[in-house]
Amino acid sequence: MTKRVVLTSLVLLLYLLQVTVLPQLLLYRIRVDLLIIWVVAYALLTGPREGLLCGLFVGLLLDLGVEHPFGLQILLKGLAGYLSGTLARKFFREQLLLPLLVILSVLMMQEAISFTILNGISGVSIVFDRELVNELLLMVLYTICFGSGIYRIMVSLVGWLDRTAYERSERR
Amino acid sequence: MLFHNWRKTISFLAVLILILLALTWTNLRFNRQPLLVFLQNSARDLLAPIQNQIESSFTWLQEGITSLQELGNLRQDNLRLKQENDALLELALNYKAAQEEIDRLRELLEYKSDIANFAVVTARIISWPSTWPSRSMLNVGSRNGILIDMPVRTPRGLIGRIVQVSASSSELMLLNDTSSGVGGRNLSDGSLGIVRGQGSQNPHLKMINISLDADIRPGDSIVTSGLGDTFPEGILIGTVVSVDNDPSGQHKTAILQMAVDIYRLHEVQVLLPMPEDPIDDNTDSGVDP
Repeated sequence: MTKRVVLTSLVLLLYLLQVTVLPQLLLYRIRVDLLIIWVVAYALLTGPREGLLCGLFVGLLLDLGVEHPFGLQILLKGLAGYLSGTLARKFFREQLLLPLLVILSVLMMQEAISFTILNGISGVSIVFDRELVNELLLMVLYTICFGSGIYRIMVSLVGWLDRTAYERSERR
Repeated sequence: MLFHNWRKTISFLAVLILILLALTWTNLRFNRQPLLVFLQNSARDLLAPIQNQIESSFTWLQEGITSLQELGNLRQDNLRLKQENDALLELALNYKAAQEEIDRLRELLEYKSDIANFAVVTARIISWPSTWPSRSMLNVGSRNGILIDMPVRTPRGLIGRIVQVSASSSELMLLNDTSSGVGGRNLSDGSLGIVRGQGSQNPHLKMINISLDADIRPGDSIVTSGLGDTFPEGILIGTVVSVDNDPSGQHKTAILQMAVDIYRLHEVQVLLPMPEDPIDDNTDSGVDP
């Protein structure tokens, strides 16, 4: 129960930061998806089931709150959570490089899928010009910065939640 | 257990993906389902006050920091502003005379500007989506008299229209959304066309269906034509960057630079069509005719 409350509150906080403050802080049109970093980091530390559930919840929150069309974010975040979760416990928690690579890969997958779905239906073709490449590079840079911070926080959080759960079961 | 049997897991994921893809597709292709609209509106009404508060606190903080940074330049700024003020006073006098003449001529021609039929509700952008943003949320909703399809602009030009309204928030579809279409008119030669968005990854708009004999050139200003029911006439949309022939050879196509940098917006104006009787508005958002 404590775990769900803590995780839900943090997801809500991250959501509010992402949709209100972050767009005003970052350069030009670059967006950073803090919530996909959160979902991947959580899934990497807890497994596919928890990852999928977390992804579906985050996607639902985004689709209800601000994203369009409804359903796309649930799909993307759910997939991200499940796929990242399958890599859980395949590396040491303290390692940072591998989680960052997974976060970046999942982010690129998300961008590619959402672009294909949105523009495939509306019939607009992508132009890979210098501007788009610059945007993608900046997005990668921001994601590495935020990703390393969020992953470290997640390692401590999951550790604390596991310890709390263990102590409770011990007391019983 | 679902996640211990890979066949069950794969089937579950496949069904989930199919359902969500179908949901996304129907939402893009057709009108939004009433149940979804209800759920979205409820969630947005719940989150809007918090987002509004965070956004305004952050803007206040940003403005405070900027003011502190600008303290050192106060003396020079003051001098420059005094000079500008003198020049503007002179301009205002000329403007007043010109406006009186315009009003007199309009009266003679019995002409009524489209924009005069609209009241303005000032709104703040309270949130942006994270992926491919071509929509955003405003802090005004049906409580403030906002309805679907109302045009949204800034003093610099048009930025989009309202596509969904809850009690305390509304969803703004920006001009660069691929579903967006606005009737446009070239100010220099009067040629008409439809201005379409090309998605949030492309900062330029596309004006299509321009007549082959139109004399449209880079640098021309495109304004709303006022031919549809949604947008009043004469709001600046953008400037022509390039002109090309349509692949079909039947029309010309122009690429436009938007008049407004839509990703640097904080406040916008929603245009409310004025009813016969004045609106009895008792909300905290100021309605200025």
